[in-house]
Amino acid sequence: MTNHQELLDAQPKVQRLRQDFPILNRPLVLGGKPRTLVYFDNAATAQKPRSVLDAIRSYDENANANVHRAIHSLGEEATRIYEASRDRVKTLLNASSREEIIFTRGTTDSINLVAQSFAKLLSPGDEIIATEMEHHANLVPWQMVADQYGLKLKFLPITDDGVLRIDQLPVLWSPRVKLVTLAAMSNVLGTINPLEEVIAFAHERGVPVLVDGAQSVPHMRVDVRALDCDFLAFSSHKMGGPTGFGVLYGKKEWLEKLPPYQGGGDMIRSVWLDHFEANDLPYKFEAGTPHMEGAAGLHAAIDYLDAVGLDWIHRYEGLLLDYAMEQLKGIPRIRFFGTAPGKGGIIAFLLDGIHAHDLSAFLDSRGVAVRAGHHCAHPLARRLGVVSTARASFYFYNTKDEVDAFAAAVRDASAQL
Amino acid sequence: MAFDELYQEIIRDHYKNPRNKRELSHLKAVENPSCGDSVKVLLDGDSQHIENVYFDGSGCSISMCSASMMSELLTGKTVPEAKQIVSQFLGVIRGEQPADSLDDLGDIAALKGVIELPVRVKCATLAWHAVEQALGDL
Ligand SMILES: Cc1ncc(COP(=O)(O)O)c(C=O)c1O
Repeated sequence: MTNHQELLDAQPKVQRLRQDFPILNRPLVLGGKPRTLVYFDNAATAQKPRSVLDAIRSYDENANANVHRAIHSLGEEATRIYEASRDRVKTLLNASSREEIIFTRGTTDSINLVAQSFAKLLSPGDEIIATEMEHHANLVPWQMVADQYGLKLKFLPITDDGVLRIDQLPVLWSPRVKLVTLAAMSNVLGTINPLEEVIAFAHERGVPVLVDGAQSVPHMRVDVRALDCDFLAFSSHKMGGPTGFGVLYGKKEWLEKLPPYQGGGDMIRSVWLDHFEANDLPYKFEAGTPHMEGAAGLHAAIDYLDAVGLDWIHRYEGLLLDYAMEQLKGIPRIRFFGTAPGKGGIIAFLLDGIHAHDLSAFLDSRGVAVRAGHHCAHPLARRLGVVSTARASFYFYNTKDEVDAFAAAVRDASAQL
Repeated sequence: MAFDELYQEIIRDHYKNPRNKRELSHLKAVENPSCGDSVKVLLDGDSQHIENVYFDGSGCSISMCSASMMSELLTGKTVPEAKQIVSQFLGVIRGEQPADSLDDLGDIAALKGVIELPVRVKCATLAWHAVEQALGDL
């Protein structure tokens, strides 16, 4: 079967799935004309299926109480829901134990947690390796601790096509390297990085690896035991769950070694006026009343993604990407950023001579939502020699027809702007 | 508020044929970090009068036409008049003053629609923050 046929054959399934997403069917009136919403900004945040909306509502209508604290029915129920979500994340990731699943506010919070806690174990002059394609969330937290603790940051370069120069890893390496941190998938280039190779290289030298999974966990199966990463950070809102919630997976041996991050309720076993004893994992890293609706919603989102099939999602988004690239390629003045083989469903592009803002405003007038800007990766934009790009990013509920509408709008922009 | 309405002829004209634009490589730019747009403004005059306003920069049609309109509008004004216009424009764009108060100010009224587009307010105000600084430095 050709890829094109496979894409066509998948459309009825996609149309059925779309019925689960109320927002995808909302009416849109632009410039007095009714338009169909084409949502291609999924790398920024994904839309939520009704089952997630129901789970959040049901939590608040039936179970809301503070977790881990109340000895009453609602408290028990709330705690049960919260902890069931942790178990669900554990099975999604194939983690060894539930103690390895820390609930956070999202990828950014997860990475800040590791940066702040891990840096306390380091000495001035120690080094951390990141890459040129990182989101600010996997860059600025390291700059902050580098400043604070006298650490040195080093960066794996990329090729002009947006491929990680993994051949440079031995060149950058030194005995002072204490951690490697990198995105599984770039939120601008779509590049899927060779994590296994990086992890094997670092582990041979006894160094742990943090994976920013913000763009991988929503779109493909991620098995932390097969991957053997030491930390994995991701956000609920990019996989159909609520905002303000996310996960840090950490190997137990590392989480036990790291000092606590924030202080407050829940993260302590006992407290005196002048000191405290930290709680056991995972609570040691969960200070304060958590986002309980977030946990309920993420649980439903994972159930939904698993039912759709993460392997199918990855495959389908690849078909959409290939089809979109075919449609876009011939358009006059178009330029692409990131053309790594086997990349994920993200297209960063420009029309020469048209500012990305103007391009995305034009596409918006046609009902097509894409992101314009530097996509929280200033250094990457500089590396690519642009200030901003437009970015279309797909999720499994996007259709071939939407790609056609998008490509037609880009073609018109090229002719009219 | 749609693109079609927003990009009226006036806006297009200022974007394609910017007024008072010249190279000002020696000046420091005011930037919008979220999109990389940047504007520089040079005021030519004395501490009381602005004889000419020049700008330099790169960015989207909204930020560039706003800079062009600003330069045209402030040319020949006294410093207090210019400051008053700047605070009036910023007040309108922030939604603190009625949009219609821009109607007497010529082409700049074409930017009223930006009030409805919160993401693009930063584009429209960039040049105005640059001139605000330049006025402060006089
Ligand atoms: C690769 C990558 N890392 C980190 C983040 C930050 O995620 P959040 O804003 O949900 O913390 C994002 C989201 O934009 C991302 O795409």
